[in-house]
Amino acid sequence: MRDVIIIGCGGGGPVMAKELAAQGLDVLVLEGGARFADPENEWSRLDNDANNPTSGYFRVGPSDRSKPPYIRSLPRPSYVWQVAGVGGTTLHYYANNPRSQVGTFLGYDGPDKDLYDTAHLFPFSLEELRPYYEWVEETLPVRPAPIGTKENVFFRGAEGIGLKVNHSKEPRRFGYRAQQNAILQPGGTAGKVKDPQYPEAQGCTMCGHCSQGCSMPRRAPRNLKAKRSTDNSYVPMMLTADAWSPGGRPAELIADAYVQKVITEKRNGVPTAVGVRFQIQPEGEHYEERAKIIVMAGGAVETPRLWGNSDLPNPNGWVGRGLTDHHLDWVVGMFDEYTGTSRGQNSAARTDFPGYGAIENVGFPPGLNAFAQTYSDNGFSGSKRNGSPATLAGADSMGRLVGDDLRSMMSNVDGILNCLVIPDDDVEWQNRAVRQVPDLVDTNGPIARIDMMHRKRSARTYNNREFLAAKAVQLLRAAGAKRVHRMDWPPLILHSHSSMRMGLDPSNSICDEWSKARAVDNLYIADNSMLANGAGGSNPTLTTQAIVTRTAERIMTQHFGGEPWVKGNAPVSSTDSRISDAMDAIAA
Amino acid sequence: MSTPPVALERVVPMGTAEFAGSLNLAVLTHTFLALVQAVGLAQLRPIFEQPSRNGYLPFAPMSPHPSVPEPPGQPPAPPRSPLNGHSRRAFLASASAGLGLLALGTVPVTADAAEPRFIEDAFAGLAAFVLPGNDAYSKQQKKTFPGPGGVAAGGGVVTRESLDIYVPIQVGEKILPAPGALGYAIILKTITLSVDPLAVFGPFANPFANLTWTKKRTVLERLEDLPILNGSTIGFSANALTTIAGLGVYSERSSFDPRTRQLTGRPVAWDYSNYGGRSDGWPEFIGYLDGVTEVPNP
Repeated sequence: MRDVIIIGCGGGGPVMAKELAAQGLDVLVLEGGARFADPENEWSRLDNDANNPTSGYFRVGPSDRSKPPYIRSLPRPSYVWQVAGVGGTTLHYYANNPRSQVGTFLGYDGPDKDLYDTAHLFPFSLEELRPYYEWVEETLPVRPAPIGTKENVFFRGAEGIGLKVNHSKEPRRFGYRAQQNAILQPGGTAGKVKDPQYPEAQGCTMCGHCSQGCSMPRRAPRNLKAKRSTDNSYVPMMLTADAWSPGGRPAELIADAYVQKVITEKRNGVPTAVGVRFQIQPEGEHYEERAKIIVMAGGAVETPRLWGNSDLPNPNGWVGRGLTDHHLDWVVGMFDEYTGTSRGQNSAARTDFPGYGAIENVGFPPGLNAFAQTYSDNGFSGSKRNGSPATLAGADSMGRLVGDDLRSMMSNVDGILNCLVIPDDDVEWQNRAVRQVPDLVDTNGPIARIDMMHRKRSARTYNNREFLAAKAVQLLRAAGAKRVHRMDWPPLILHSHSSMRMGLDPSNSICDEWSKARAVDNLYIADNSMLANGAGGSNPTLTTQAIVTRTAERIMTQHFGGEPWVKGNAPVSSTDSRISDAMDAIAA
Repeated sequence: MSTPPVALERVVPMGTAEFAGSLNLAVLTHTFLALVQAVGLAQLRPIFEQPSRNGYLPFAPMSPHPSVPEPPGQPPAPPRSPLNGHSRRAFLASASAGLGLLALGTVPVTADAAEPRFIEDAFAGLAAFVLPGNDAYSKQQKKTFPGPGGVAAGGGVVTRESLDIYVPIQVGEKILPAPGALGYAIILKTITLSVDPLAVFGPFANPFANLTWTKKRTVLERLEDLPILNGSTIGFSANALTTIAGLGVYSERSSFDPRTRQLTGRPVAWDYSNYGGRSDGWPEFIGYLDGVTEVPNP
């Protein structure tokens, strides 16, 4: 009997594990994907080898890449861009860590409060969550991003459309800023040479491969790799909790362990989580393990799937419902100057439009740029429109780029600048990630089905997207783009959240304000699925990690007789040398 | 770190083999139901009717296109596929207009020798559409570029590999090569014949590769609009087909050895995108916006 079993080792699970392991609990973490223990040699950092959606090392599937990926039912044009494995989707994320927009919280009373998804606010105030934001920001750590060429071009465009700089962590007006990100700032030779190595180089080497996994600088201890994906930050901390936390106890991690069922039993007439059943992938043995507390952290797709496959109650019908994805879009500009799009951090600059969402710059190697430029809900550029309601928004052209158009746009990958449009989108019943009905199964049980009604989003969501797309076009022109093209993406479900949302209203939420499942005792949720809304268009990871930290404290105090530890204290940084030493000892 | 779960309580799987086998058959059935609905049962029947070498469904990897070299490091070509002998029957069954012309003897039959390349030609034709070059597929579509294009970059190979691994087939304890690429090669052919029946006559085994660039675009637009796919389990893929090819034609695949996962040279796509290449770092660090390296808490 464990104290806690955590299902999933992505962006949220390791945060829960680290906090509870530091308190001395017996924690088991089960991850359905691979463990990348030697990233310098395991990650080629090549477009197709890394990011191919079916066979890349960053896919949703077992670690054996000769085996198929885990299948999802996607009945409409869409693509779910997640990663299975220790680190989860933080393995390919850009480490952008903005706080959720101020108007997404209970009690916000600013003059723009009605611009937000007011029916689905977080069930607590920003003031309540602030200490946990600060705790996570110091643990990772989160700091302003360094600036490269593409950020300078982006800021020039932002100034050109009348935006002012706003360094605030909680912006309340339109403005631009460097990303608050979780990438160690460059030091020594990092960012200055092509062949940096630790210890002469420390932090971000500006290599341009955030999306292919961060193993830089070479020779650095795992917890000093630049990007603070959880495999470089919280996972080393959870595995070495005894080294840096008095009374701490290392968490145990098993990779390629796919949880197929949450086991419950009735206690006082209430379903109560008591354990899990899992299978070593892809076709290994089945095991069962019990714990006092079960934490689901498989992500916004897998958590509702597992809920359904475990036959857990769904009294209000909201399991898997309300999926938000930020209704993303992509606008690209072509320049006559060097933009450095394939180099530096993948995204280090953003503009905030509170109440509407955000725009951030994104840089890629050529393969992912072409992937982005050939994905559209608007047919082929220059041909028929395919029925999408999206407008040009001031761009010169729209739709898939192929043939001469693609070759022209991609003739110099470092002469383009990309804008990712991130609208604040509404929680809507129609959008969902659920267990497939009728059952279509793989060896882990009925698969997940994702429905995103792309062309039937709420008026606010649609208008936010059009507003931001137009801003992106204007920004690129002001920056000097000679040609601006809008993609009008189909759902690219990269930011996926709120499918098991928390809320004050039991009629439209799965979790209470502590991320505890309302319908099942001793069961908590610790991934993006529990977010109450789309965070106002903010990248979700920081908010999830802050809420998970708050939930960990709640579990410790409610179930194990502990005391709160966050407010009034400072955390140990994930870069602490005791963690490095302990990881070296484990590797040896 | 991954710890062997020896300390955990072992539970006996309940009918695991039967469970897995029957469930994967459901995947198979569902997927092919979608394909059958999309292209018509008549298109698939000649394939299903043929006995396989192993007693299961007769799908196997296709042999590579003799005129389009595989990227270095590709495994040796597999034996001739059971499908190869039937792709001609499959397309003849559907190409009524083509049959009429054949009967009249007015059009030379040039596709026979190319039949083993039914799948490869489909996706090489797609790669040439996404990024024309100086290859035979680009010349056939009458849109070329004086230099390497998507075919040379391995765009067709990436698309085929991606589709093949996505749909797994397991019958009992047997895992069979997946037919995702075959399914889409058939779909492309079928829609092609509705756009231009004369496309059966051309140098390539899949009529899609015989089309002009504009007609290829029409085929892909019709594919995207195919009502039966929108709503099926694989509804996403019609839209994603061009996108996967887009990734492929700008990827490293032309110079990637899948066995060693190492580059064997500089990928051609890196040249025509003017990419500086993979690097451990770049001298891109300029400074911080307004010199701000830390933002205070509110």
